Formats: sequence, structure tokens, C-alpha cells
Amino acid sequence: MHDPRPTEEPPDFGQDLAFQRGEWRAERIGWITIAGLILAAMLGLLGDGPLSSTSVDSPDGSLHLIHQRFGRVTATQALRLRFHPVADADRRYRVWISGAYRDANRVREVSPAPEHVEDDRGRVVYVFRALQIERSTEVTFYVQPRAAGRSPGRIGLVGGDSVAFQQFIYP
Amino acid sequence: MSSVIHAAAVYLLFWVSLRIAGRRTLSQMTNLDLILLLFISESAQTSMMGSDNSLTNTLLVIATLIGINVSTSLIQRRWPGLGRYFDGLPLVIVADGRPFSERMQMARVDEAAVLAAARNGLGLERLDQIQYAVLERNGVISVIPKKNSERSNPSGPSSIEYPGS
Repeated sequence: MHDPRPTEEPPDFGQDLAFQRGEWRAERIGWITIAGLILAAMLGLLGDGPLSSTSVDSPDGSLHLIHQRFGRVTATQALRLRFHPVADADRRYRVWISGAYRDANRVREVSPAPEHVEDDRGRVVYVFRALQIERSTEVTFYVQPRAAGRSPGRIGLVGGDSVAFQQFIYP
Repeated sequence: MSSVIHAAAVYLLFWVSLRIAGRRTLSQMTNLDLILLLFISESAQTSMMGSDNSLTNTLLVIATLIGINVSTSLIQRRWPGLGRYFDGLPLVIVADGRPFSERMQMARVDEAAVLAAARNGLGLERLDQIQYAVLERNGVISVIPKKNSERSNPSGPSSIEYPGS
């Protein structure tokens, strides 16, 4: 780029400088948008990340749920439920998830593995033997959202407290 | 239905992305660009197909992509003024041997690329041998030599068509 600008405008060739400048402006806005998207993703606004990870406690403090605010359809995410173990009379712990949340998500894996799963008046109950729970006092559900949009849920202990949580699922 | 919507959304996403990236991005494909293109198509493929790898779904996705592509060309034929929004417009970047520096900077074209296009086929060696260099809609640089320019490869121009020759 050594010479000054040419003084004479060349033949048209179909160019339109006003349109071209608009295109360059749009291009630059696009670059900024892409940079913003990457930054938002790194922060966790589009899925997992520091601003996505959150936790909620039950009113009596017996339950502590760690979950993601934002998720993506079919991307696996974890719901970690920590609690003070209080076994039933049959030496079992029963953790339930609201039926609507269970329908909106596919439960890929539960750790530790439950002894069995029951349906109970619109909610799904995961039954664990006392020995499994007393080691960790934490149950993790690995779930895959089935659809985009707001995804409210509730999780709790049968006969105990429960916590409500909200997620937003990107397409 | 979701296959058609996903394929159409991915097409739109690609169109917007390539317009944002600028016409020069994939017109001169380096090895890295080729790998980048493979990665992009691989990630888009998963989104379009989902977990349904059936022949019907494949047919639907291909039909949608080709259908949109044909539609855009028909739209451009019917309303030529809209073509500029799909593919942009040509841009003169060198005239009478002198570069339009600001345009080249904005279009991310350097002098070396213009000289490479001038060498390729036309056998020109210097910028002052160029009458016009035009950045075309597809990102390729067309070079029109000066009438009296000396060429190191005089047989070259016969294989290239350009206006004003």
C-alpha cells in the first residue's frame, strides 16, 4: 500500500460503495457478536460455566441442590442433591423428582444407582438402600433435556423437605 | 418436520456466518481452512441429523438444503437487486496500478494477494502492470492488465476471461 489513492474512479464493474460500506459495518457488528457469543459461552450463559452453576437450599436447610441455570437440548447436565441422611423405617432413602421435570428430561444415570424407581402421585421416587447413601450423602442425577425453553423442577425427600429450581434450556 | 427446520436453520446460520466472515475467508483455501471447513460441516451435520440416521431423514435434509439453495438463486434471478444481499457486490481494489488502500484494508486483501492473482495465469510481476483488480463476489481477485504491460508468461491470459481484454 505505497501509493496514494487513485484519483480517477475506474469503470463501475457493478460495485456500489455505499452498499459495500454498509456490508463492512454489518461484518464488524457480526465479529463483535461472535466475540460476545464466545465470551457468554465461556462465562456459562449458554450452558455450563461459572455463571451457570448455582445452588439452592431447602427452607429447613436439610437439602442442598447444585444445578445449572442454563442447559442445552440433549446435553447431559448434573443435579447434585446433598442432604442429612434420615432413613425410613425400612432402612431406605427415597428421593423424588417432580413428574413434569422428569418428563421434560431424560435421566441418563443416577449415582449411586437406586435400588428401584417408583411412581408416586405425579412424581418419580428413587429408592436407595441406607448403606449406599450413608457413604456419601449425595445423589447425582445426570439428565438430558428433551426440549428447549424454561424448565422448572422440584426435588425432595419423601417425608422430608424439598427444593424448587429453574433452568433455561437452549435449543 | 424438525429435520426440515433444523436443516433450514443450519443453512441460514452458515449463510450469516460466511457473510460475517467475509468473502475472502474461504476463497483462498489454505490447509487450515480446509480442515476448518471439515470441522464446521461435521458439527453442523450432527445438529441437522440429530439421532435419526434413517434414509428418509437424510433425504429430507438434502432436499431442504438443495431446495433453499435453488430458491435463493431463483429469487436472485427474479429480483436481481436482492442478489447483493446474498453474495455481495464486486469491488475495485486497484485502478491504474494504484491500490485503494482503505478498501483493501476493509476487505482484508493485501497487495501480495493482488500480485499473486496477477502472477497466476497473467504472468504480471508488478502492481503498475495492472489496469484494474476487482474483488469478485466469490472472493476471487480478477486482474485486468494494462494494454501495454509486459508479461513474463504471455501464454497465460488466453486461458482466463476478463472484461475489457
